Amino acid sequence: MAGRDIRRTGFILACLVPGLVLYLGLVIVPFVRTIQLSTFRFSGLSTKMVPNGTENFQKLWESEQFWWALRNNFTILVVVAPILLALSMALAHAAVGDSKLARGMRTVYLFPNLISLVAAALIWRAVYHPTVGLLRSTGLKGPQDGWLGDLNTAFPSFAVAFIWVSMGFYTMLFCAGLAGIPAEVHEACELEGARGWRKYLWVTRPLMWPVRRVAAVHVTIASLGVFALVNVMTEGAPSNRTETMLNALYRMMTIEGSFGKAAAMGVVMMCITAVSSSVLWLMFRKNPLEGRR
Amino acid sequence: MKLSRRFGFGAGVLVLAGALIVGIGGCNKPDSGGAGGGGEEAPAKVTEVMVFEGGYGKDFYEVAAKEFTEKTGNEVKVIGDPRIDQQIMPRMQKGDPPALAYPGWRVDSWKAVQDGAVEDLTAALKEPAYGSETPWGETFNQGLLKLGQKDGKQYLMPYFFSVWGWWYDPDLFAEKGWKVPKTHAELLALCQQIKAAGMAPITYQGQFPDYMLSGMLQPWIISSGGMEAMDACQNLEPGAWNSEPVIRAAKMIRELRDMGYFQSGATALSHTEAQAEFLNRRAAMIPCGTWLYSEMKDEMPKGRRISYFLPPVLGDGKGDPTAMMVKIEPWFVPSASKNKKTAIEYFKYLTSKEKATQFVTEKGTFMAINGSDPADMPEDLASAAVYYKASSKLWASQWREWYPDFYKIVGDIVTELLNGKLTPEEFAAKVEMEAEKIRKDDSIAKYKYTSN
Amino acid sequence: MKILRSVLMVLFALSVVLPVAWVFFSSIKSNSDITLSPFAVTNPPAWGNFEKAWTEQDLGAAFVFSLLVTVLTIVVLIPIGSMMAYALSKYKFKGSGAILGLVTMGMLFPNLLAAVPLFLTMVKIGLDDTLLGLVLAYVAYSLSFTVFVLHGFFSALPDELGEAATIDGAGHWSLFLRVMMPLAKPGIWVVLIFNAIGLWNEYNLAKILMLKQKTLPVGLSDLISQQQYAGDWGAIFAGAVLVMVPVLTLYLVLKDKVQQAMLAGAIK
Repeated sequence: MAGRDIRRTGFILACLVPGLVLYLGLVIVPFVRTIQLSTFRFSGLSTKMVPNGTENFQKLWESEQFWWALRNNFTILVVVAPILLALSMALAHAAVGDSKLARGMRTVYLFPNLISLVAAALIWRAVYHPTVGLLRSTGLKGPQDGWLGDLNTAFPSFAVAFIWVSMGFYTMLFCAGLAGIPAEVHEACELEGARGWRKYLWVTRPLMWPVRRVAAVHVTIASLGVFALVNVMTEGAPSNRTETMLNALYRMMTIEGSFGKAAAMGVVMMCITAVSSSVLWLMFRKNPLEGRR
Repeated sequence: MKLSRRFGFGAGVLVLAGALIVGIGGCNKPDSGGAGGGGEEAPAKVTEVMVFEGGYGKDFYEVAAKEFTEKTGNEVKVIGDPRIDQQIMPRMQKGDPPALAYPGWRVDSWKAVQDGAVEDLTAALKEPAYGSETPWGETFNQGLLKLGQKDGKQYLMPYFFSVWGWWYDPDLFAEKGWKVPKTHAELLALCQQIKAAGMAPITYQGQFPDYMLSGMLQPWIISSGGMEAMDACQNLEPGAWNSEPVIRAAKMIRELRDMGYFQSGATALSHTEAQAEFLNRRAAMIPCGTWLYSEMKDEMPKGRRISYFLPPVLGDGKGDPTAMMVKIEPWFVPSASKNKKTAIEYFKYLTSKEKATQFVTEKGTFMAINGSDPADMPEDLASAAVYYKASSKLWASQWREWYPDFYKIVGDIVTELLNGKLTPEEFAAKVEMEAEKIRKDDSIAKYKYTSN
Repeated sequence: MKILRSVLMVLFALSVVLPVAWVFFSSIKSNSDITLSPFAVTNPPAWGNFEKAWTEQDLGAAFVFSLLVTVLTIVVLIPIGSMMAYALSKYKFKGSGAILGLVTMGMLFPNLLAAVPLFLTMVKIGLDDTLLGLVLAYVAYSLSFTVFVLHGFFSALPDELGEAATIDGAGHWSLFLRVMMPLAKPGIWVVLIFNAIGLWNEYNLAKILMLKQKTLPVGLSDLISQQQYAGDWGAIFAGAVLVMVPVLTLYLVLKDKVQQAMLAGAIK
């Protein structure tokens, strides 16, 4: 009995240790060090680190950039992401089936996800360009300051690019969810005369609960972690209207030379992420269908 | 699947761990020495020089390093990259910096000075220059040298420099019979003419408000209130930003916008996009520094010529109408380097009159070294040199380097002015409010600028 | 209804295909055509852009290096990740839930938050600016997703399988390698494909950790930075094509694998 236990323990350890060592040493420890850095003044240009208590956080609190970043990430999470998911769901409903068109669609829809975000940003800058851009050439002149220059249209314009980049992935998820619904269910609906919105709300949507949960987790991470697209597309301009938390952090770390402030930004982000995951956890704690069974 | 529950749990663990570490971090100082060390160790065999690979490339420094090695026997290695800042910063963090650094605009070199990480070169400036009897310091343009000083000590060194101004296309202007505007009134009249001809009068690099600040706002503050008005702003004097000259300058910008003299959509343009608009004759004028040509040379339409002129100022302004804004890109010797001596020698070689003259010819820019302008300057630069020689007042926007956070904020506020969200008065009041924050912030080192 | 569906699909497909095609298109245009008229054709095509990108701008070396890093990371990551996921899903022991939570939590937090201390750690263990260092960092930062997905797959395999095999006298290792791993193959495909794509496009860590030898996305972004001082749009678009082609090819070849795998992953 003891020998079996030892062998079992040995096996578990052998399986876990290599990964855990790497993970703890290269992920967890650096993350925790970031938290530590947030209470120091550190320019990143010397070895000098001066403890400064909560000064970095106070500076964030007083800066407009911080609040815009927060506000934009929040807007992406609660406004843009639901739109993205709704569009993806609609597209998924359109793209099920075996028609040539549907299959072709399901081939290309992941392209924006697969190409580098740098390429995606190049594309969208060209679309919005105020003199030679695609929108302009199709007659959509846009505001006087340009789609990405106007204080009011910059964020929505960015959001469209964000949706474009992400939509294929969620459509794929929802297609998979729809395809996973057993044929008998569809037949039953047919018999009961349930279709359209009623079918979606009462049958399809609840059955897709597991997929929706996966989508919710992904979209939350993606909404809070917007970086490369903004960094290449607008760098937060005009006047912070497209600023995001990560882009602000990156700016503080590089151009402003305040690593402590950047780390404080990182800590705020960690807290927000923790809160959002808790909310997600509450929302998707239990599959309502399982309860009914 | 119970994964989401575990997410919640794990997140809790991390937040807890974080709180714990913050607590510990409060009392425990991390070893700030890092892996580097330093001090009196023997110099490394190879002296490393890290340079920003911008519009002027890195080849010049590499060739010079080779020559220097042949001449002195000391091996110098040049490492150049467009993002050299990302290599310099970690090296300085671990206390193992290169011997000489030219980090480019992405690094706030004054923060390094403030940390005591930059070598004081005051003594070195008294030594003779390369291949000459003259003290090294005296071979520089003194006004430019001063831009790298704090409390009388020399930390940052100038090499080449640029001047800010506006640009036009002389062939286009000649063809249309347009005249380069000297005063603001002439500018307004010209803009009306250009607009009537179906062209956008002025474009600008709206994504980066720096250009608006350097090409319009600051010159117009000077024009309206005299150099002392801008000096006061640079020194964050109470009320300086909320003063009549600043409001006047903001009004001049707003007027151009309200009259429709700015190219539509310019706020959304990056610097290269806006400059391409200008070069492709979709806009007649643009604010920019003397690097414009080298930055855009690959996209320049065949046969296109560009010429410099000073920002058109108020006809009855208080400021010197020949005032010209100069900008250096600093080089420095990190204190923690073991090869400081060779680094200084190499930089002396780079700044010798012979090499400096060669740099102007090859790269087309002004040099901070006296007597380095050759007879055959590139045409675009020559057009600026005319104004440079005639200028009786050179000044620099030092607050941009000293208070980069504040500079960014002012840029954001200018964008709001340009977008019509703020009136000129609101603009000035908001900038003053932000200046007040910096003034009160003891964690930010304060500097003093005098244009004389 | 049917027409509406078709319209929706056609619109979306076009919005996806046209811009991507436009990048390919622009990669064979001259510099001035790219900035002057983004939607016109250069005649004759400027194939020289690729040569410039590959040799002059060193994207060739970056391409090879990216390939090497991606393959090596996968080779190390898949065994380590599946071992962890398997042990955490099939062996109940005190703290297994906490470990799983800690490991999968990494998915939530962008790696940029840890970039600076990570670099300092690498310096301390002498692995900064090395291929090995980058591969190890990639493995560490890819573990969260890998373990998350594979844990799901292993959990779905019935425990009876293990019991039956144990009765037949199989040890822990042979049970894992001979029985469980083959059954988790769809899961391995998911993590393989997703990590390969993610690693190929990875940007933040490569940028911070690799100073001398660059990966392709970093090389491209540096080229864009450099373009700000010496515009070479042709080479940039050629570089963008170099980044896109391997991933799109992989996807087109393995499309069914990806989609089957996703199906299994999401529905289970």
